[in-house]
Amino acid sequence: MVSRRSLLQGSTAAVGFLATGRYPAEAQPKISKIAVNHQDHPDGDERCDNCIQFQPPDACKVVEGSISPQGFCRIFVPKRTPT
Amino acid sequence: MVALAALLGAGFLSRPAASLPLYARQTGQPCATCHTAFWELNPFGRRFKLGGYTLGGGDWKGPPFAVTLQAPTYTHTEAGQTGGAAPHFGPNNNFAFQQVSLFTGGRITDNLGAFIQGTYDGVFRSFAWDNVDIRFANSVNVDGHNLLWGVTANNSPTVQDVWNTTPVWSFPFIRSELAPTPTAKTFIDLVYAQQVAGLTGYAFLDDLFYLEFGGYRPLSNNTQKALGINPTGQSPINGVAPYWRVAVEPNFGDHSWEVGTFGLASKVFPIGLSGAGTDSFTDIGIDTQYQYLGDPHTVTARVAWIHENHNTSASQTLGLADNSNNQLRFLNATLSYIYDKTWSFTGGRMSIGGTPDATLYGTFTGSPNSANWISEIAYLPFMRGGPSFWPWLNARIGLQYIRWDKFDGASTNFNGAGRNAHANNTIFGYVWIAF
Repeated sequence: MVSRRSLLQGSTAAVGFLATGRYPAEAQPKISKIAVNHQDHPDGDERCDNCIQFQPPDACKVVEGSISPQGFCRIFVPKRTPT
Repeated sequence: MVALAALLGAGFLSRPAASLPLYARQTGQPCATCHTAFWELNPFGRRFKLGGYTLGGGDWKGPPFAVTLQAPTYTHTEAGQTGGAAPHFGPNNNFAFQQVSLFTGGRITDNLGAFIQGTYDGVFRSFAWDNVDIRFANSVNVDGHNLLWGVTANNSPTVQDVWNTTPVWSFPFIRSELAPTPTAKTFIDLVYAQQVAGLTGYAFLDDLFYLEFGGYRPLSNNTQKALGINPTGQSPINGVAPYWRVAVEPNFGDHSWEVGTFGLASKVFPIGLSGAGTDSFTDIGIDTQYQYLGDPHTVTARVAWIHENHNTSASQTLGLADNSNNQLRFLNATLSYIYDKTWSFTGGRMSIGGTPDATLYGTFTGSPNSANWISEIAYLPFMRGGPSFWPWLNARIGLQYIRWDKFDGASTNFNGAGRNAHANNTIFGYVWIAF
């Protein structure tokens, strides 16, 4: 029978192995492009460099990878225009 | 025992709120980024959860709290319930302040986050801890393949799941606490919610393949009491109950489709009695969920089927069951159409059936069979953002109708007192607010 102690120990070991493994870890998991249906071309006037999450020159706060300023995805939120 | 555990837990197991404004504040995203209609998750929401609730992006500097209210609610059954729908309530046409929940959690570190809920139940007038899911998650690149992996500590089997087919997060997302519910249910269907501590590890490879495995152990009676749970009559797990989840979710354009399986197995002490050994159960679920994520049209189809094999030899020895073995089969199939993230229309079918055992279920017919049709219309005015004075306000205002074909084994006279299944047909109106 697996005890809770052994279960916890096993999980801790797994966490330790993965955390110190040879593969570089990202600081914070972002969301994949496929999950937001990202495209490299705009949708009308809606494009990534008009989105509140865009980080110039080619990144997004929430979507992983290189992001084209002319791109577009499902979670587009327009920047607030000053009033 | 299942029925007894279900009844004892009913006060705390009604569906909690989600679509948390604290996550909206953390990410700077409106509710519609993660949800089709709260609280159903879309692909983004699923990955936010699998990522440990850690994703940032917002400029909120305040404390990470959110509140949900299920109030007011109105419950009407086709015929009144003798003796009252619940203590302090009349037989029919009851208004209630059903629930208020306080949430905290979100990002704790870059890789550690949480969903922590406490709920005051306004029907049963009690406070208890509710759903808890604390995660460590990370993402690595393995020879060109993206691997999102994590560990979750949680308190209810399937609370950690990201598809809206498994019991904790399945439709209906809100239900009346003052309407009759069938006696029989499978063990994985919230019987152990808030009574256990679980630890599972998961991996999500290339945004496609999902694998999770772990186990659950019962909490001590004193721990449960301290957390507001009444342990009387529970059938506690003996040792560790393994839990598993396997799924594949291909996404293509505006389409997201999941097919998977999940399950829980354990030996249990019937209503806590150890004199005759243990019963055992194995619940195996198969599920699929399809989402069309267009604008303004969204469609979700969800189907879950659970088979339970329940060895009741210890219960039989104790005089708590007629048979030494029983089976249950559960189906929940629903279809939702959401227009412009604002209007939600859902229809569905639920059925549960299995071997008769009058002593185990305690029903007049001895049969666990029940079946209903459900329909719901809901208005969600703030999925794209709330009013300017509080943009994180969200609300779901709905009207739900449940029509029972069969209840506790019969269409007519299911309780021996002449009550028909249709007498339990329920109209449920609700206002559900999150802020």
